[in-house]
Amino acid sequence: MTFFKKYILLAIIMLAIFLRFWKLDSMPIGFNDDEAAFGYDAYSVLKTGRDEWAKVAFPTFESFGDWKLVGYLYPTVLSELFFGKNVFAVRFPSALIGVLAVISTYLLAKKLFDQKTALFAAFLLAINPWHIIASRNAFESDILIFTVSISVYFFLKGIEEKKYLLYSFLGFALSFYVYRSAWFFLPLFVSTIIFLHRNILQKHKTDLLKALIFAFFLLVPLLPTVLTFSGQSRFFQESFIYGVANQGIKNEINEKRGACFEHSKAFFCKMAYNKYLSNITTYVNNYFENLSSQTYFTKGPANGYQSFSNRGLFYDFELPLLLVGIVMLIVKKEKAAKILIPWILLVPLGASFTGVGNPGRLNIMLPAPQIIAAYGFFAMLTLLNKRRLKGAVIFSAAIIITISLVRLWTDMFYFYPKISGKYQRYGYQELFKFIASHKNDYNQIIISRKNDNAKQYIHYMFFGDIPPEKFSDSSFTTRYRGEDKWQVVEKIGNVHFYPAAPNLEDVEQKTLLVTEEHEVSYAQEPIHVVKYPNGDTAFELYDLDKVREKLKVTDDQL
Amino acid sequence: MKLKKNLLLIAIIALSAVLRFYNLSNIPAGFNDDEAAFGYNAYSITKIGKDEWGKMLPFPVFESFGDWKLVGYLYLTAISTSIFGLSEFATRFPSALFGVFTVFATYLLAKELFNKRIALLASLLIAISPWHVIASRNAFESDLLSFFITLGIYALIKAFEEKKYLKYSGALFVLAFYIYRSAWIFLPLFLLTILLLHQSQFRKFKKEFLKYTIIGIVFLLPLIPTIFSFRGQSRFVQESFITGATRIGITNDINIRRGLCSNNMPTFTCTIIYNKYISFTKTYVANYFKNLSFDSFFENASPTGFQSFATRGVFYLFELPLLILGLLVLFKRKDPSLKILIPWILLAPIGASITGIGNYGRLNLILPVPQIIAAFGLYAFLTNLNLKALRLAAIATITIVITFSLCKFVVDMFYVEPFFTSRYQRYGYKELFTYLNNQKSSYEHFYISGKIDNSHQYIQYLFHQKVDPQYFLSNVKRSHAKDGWVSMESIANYHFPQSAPGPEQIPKKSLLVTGSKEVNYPVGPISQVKYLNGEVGFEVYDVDSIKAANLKQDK
Repeated sequence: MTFFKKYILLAIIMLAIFLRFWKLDSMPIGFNDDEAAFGYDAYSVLKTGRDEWAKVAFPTFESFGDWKLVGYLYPTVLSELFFGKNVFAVRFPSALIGVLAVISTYLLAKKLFDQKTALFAAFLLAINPWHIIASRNAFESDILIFTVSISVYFFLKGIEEKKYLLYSFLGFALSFYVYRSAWFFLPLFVSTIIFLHRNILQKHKTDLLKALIFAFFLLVPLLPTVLTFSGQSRFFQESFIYGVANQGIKNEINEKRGACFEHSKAFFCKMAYNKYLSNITTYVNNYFENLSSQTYFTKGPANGYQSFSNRGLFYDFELPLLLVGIVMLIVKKEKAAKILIPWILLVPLGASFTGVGNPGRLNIMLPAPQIIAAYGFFAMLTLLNKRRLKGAVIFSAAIIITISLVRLWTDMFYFYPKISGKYQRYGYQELFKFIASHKNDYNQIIISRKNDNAKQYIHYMFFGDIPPEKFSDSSFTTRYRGEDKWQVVEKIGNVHFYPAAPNLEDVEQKTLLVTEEHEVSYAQEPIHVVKYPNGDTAFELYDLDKVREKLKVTDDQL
Repeated sequence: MKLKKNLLLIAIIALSAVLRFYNLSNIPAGFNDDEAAFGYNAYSITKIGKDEWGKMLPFPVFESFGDWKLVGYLYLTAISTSIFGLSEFATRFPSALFGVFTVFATYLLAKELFNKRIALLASLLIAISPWHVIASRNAFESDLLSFFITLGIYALIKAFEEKKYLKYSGALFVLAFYIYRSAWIFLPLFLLTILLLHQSQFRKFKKEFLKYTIIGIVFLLPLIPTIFSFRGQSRFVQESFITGATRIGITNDINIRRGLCSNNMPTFTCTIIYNKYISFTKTYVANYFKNLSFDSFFENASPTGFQSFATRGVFYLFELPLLILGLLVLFKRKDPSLKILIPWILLAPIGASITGIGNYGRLNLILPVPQIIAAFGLYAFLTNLNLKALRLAAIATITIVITFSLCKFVVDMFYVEPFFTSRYQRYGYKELFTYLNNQKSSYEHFYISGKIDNSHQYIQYLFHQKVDPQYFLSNVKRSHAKDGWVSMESIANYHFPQSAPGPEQIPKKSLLVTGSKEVNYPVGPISQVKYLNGEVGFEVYDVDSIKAANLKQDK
């Protein structure tokens, strides 16, 4: 590596760090339920060695009833050990691994192509909007981007030097402990790349076998989880075959059958409209939508979860590069296609069971598109044979990338916080810090969970510094598993979580009530209001004694 | 002998005719405004030689609603109505007929590009293509382009060997310009690309080529005033995101972003990163790719079912793997047909993307290219199977899949679609105006509220009551709205107000037609017209009894 190129890589890494760590605790704004869960359970492990349910957390922990894998939990334990229990510490491992993914992308792309492609691919990942936002959220899926890409790198290195095969399969095995999208993707992907490289691998048959056995051995502890409800909870809750979306499919079948019955034999209508056909069509549709330009280049989902609701996941300029890259990979019969094409085609196979465009389930695809786009860029340059033309292309590429990057910057730091507060649980930090400092002034504090399905408790535990021992003390905390296996917390100390705001007459003296805006309408002003960054009201806090007093006064006046 | 050889092709064409002509008057359910406009203007021309605006033999455009339609489909319909009389069938007939012709043209082109077997497969696929079938059944001009372009390209390729075909090719392309505006953007770009990609072939007959290009351009001269005036661009002005209604959404988005940006950054930077040029480019590129995406072609097409389907995609799902395979093999073999097929596909959405996404009438000039590629893919797949047993199994499976898909499509189109889409396809006007016509002895005036759909009901009235064109021209009261659309006031005793007027403004012995729940009177409607899904489309009120009831209530 020349001196100059070394510095380019260093600059790219610095840029990646800057884009991922700058204002990490306030961007993304808010702190979502899963982040708070990782944060608090890590804190619990740190203090007691066990999770919030006082169980040993391995290989999963129950959390809200979604049985998260521990891959992100233990790095958070470590991070909280250094930085304490705060937003920054919980997000730190994700951001750090996001930077490592830029390095692994460089290594992998260098192995697949050459150094300049590698540098450009690493740069594209460093500035990639999707990767940046995924790295900034404390969410486990983006960890896979690093573990998978580094494992593929070792796999390719292992083809030359067999000892690296072991590292490769170590990485693949560990990925299974990080996030469930790996369970579906990796077995398919790894067997496909082994199959496509079978001729070269012939040489290291025994080493490959050793590595595979080693990996299986590492996966044994996961088996009970994979085969039970705690492994498939998410699948049951969200797939279109068992989940809520199934009802819509059924209704549509019935409606079409109804229209068909009027003209045609029942047997025929049932052949044409039935759940098997509909499920297949839904799945195929999901699959292709998950690979379509809409999913990556037009606006993300409205709630902005693991993505931006105000912009696409990729830059528009990546699209032509990607297309050129794919065409050239096929036309030139590049060896790299054996890795990159299966990678992209296999990723949506799992995500398509649950729906379309769930960024957290699809981001295991990164950095393959960036590597292809980088390759596409240089393939395009070599196609241009005039030197001046090349210069012009590079110059305009530089301008476009600069504008895109500045646009990302303003979109991310100035625009996105204004619109994403509501979906990112903004306001709980302020709310529960306020409650924690006022809880002794009241007999009870009631929090209405009407507008947020019952996960507020985790924010209270995280921001209100509730010790883990108290949480498992049944005289202090009331909690149980609901029918659908999600957990319900009714009370922590004198803080109660109600399904909706109670009637005034049902409440004892010295009560503080927390509601969302417009849930109740009292003549008395709230004693405190928590606002979203765009000025909308997030929560209203009412001293119910004052509310009753005011009501009495007005009644008397009447 | 020759007949026997082509028996398969004849069977395919017969199938295509059945799929396009069977129950043509009723499917697609309803009869939309553009169809009625073509039908009535054609009728008017056969009767008095003038269109609905009293223009003698309009050329190259006629005004219609103010959208200045091209006359290609008009004169074809004039021939058809003079044979069959004014009816839905007659209006849709030319489109359906050219749909069948396209199947044959596809056969010719695919045979020229590949071989006879692929040509048969391709013509079968286009014969049963849901998109092509529904486009053929609507009286709408865009699907005619598929025929003219396909045959034109066929003649052009033929001309590479025999020069004489060049003039046929030129004639077909010139005609296409007089049919539908999509050709104006598509054809020049497409032909230029083909010229660039086939320079060596063109070099052989430079002179002829130049000659026919000049002749072609001469024949296009009559269009020039149209192209460069409002008449040519009316639709563009009304619908594109640069000048049309969606523009305001884009402007708002820019302003919000700029505002938030300039709180924190220099205004200059904010103007550079958020401005209309970047936004237009982004919108256009996004539209372009959506117009070529899986969703557009394989998912439920459009909620209104216009020129497409509300409950299914415009392609069969089985065409997708064939299409992908076909493309891969073509690229791998670097097949010369790519130089025709790929530009065709890539240029097809160029025009449609200026106005938006999923307008199937603007996209269907892409046909029959996907079918030809899919047919090639299927053929490549089958010939690649070495084992005879395997090949037979594959053929059997594919036959079952295609038969099943075709049956499902037929059920979808004839039984399921009408239920979901009738309300968007102007279903009910025939029943309504027939009913009103039967009441003409008891009532003197008819008021039809324009709220139901944007003021084109008059054409439905003219069409369904077969109003005498001369009578219409001498009794009509109308004006032009600011945006160039026609605003109809009345035709003798038929009145078309913007919305239901108060009963006191309506003379005695009148009937009032409103949309469902548009008005609320003490007495109910004397008649209703329902959509096919049972929802009420129109309500007809006797105005005198409303007045009587109101009077009673006041007392």
